[in-house]
Amino acid sequence: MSSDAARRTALAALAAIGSLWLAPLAGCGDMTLFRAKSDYFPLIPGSRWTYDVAGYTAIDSVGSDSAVAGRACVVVLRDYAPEYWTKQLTAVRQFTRLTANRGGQEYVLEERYGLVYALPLVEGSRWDESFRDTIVPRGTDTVFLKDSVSGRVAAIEDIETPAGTFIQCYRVDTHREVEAAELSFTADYSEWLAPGVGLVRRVTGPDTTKLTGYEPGR
Amino acid sequence: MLSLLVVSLLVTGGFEAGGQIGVLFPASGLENNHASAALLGVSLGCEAGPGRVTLSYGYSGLRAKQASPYRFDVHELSAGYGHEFVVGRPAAGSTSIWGFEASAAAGFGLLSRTLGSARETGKTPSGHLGAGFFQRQGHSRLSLGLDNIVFTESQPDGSARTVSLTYLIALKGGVTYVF
Repeated sequence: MSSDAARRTALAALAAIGSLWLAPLAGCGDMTLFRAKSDYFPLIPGSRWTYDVAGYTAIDSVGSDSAVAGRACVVVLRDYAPEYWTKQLTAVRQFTRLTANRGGQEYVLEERYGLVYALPLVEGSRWDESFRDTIVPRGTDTVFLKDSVSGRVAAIEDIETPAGTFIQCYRVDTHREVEAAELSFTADYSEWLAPGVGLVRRVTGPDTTKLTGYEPGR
Repeated sequence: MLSLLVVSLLVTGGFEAGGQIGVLFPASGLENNHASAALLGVSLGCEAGPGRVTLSYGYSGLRAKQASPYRFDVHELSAGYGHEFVVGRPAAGSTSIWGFEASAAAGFGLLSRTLGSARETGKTPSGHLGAGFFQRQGHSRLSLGLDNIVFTESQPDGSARTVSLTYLIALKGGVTYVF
């Protein structure tokens, strides 16, 4: 065998052995890239989600684009009631409107796009947003408003629902607190967002919402 | 066996060490929220005739497309084989040759997504197919080429088995010293 041929054989053998050394590592992938490229809150027109909410069926769907409060948004029909959402690369926001009734007249206390999820979702990430205002509906009647929300990406889990099994879901724990006279409330809930689908499960106290069907839009 | 091969290459082949810089372009969905980023790499290799075996390390830090503390770091170690096809022979009085190279490599990526203090880590195997241009003169070797990188991820659990392929394109230029 010539020295050139010997060298080539040695090189090919070395390359083959190198590949064999790497072969056992195949299949070790743990879906980090899959999560990085997935859309966990798709707002595609025509998408339709069906949920079981404690035995009651709720239907959500994405409608057309719109503009509310001077901002372009997407209309989401939540059980046929319109909600207005915006999604950017760093945040998902929902239009919030709080009103108080004084003497038969409606006064707007809050009207803004509130933070729902900070993007991108990464396990362990947290976000907070607080909105404060003082509204004087009439005379000396003053309403102090505080609307705060905090969220945390608590875990990555696989979730089984009547609509199927969804892998690599982010569990988002949210705490919302609104202080505004008679409108005050506190809410704690956990949501599971699946890649390419969105909300597949929500637990609010004893109530559980589960996805029973999903039709992606186009 | 491996040491025998290395020794035989030490005796009969040439060694090289070099570095690469370039740009990594995300694709297959990753480009929706990640911008392209600089790519840095180092490599060690040995060569015999038109063939080269290289061990390479590469790093790139992809960032979000909007202002955000988010970052996606990709560290990758790969072993590959490249074959040179010489087109230009040295002219009289010159030692310069040039041509094209086709390469294939198998690698392993260590991945890290960070957003502020939150961090996700992962690891995944990868495959490379590359093509490019090279020029050799004396002890130096210059190269410029495209590297197609595919990362394979799988979740083998039960009925929810999923295989995800992620494609990235690297445009790389390199300088190598051939001993």
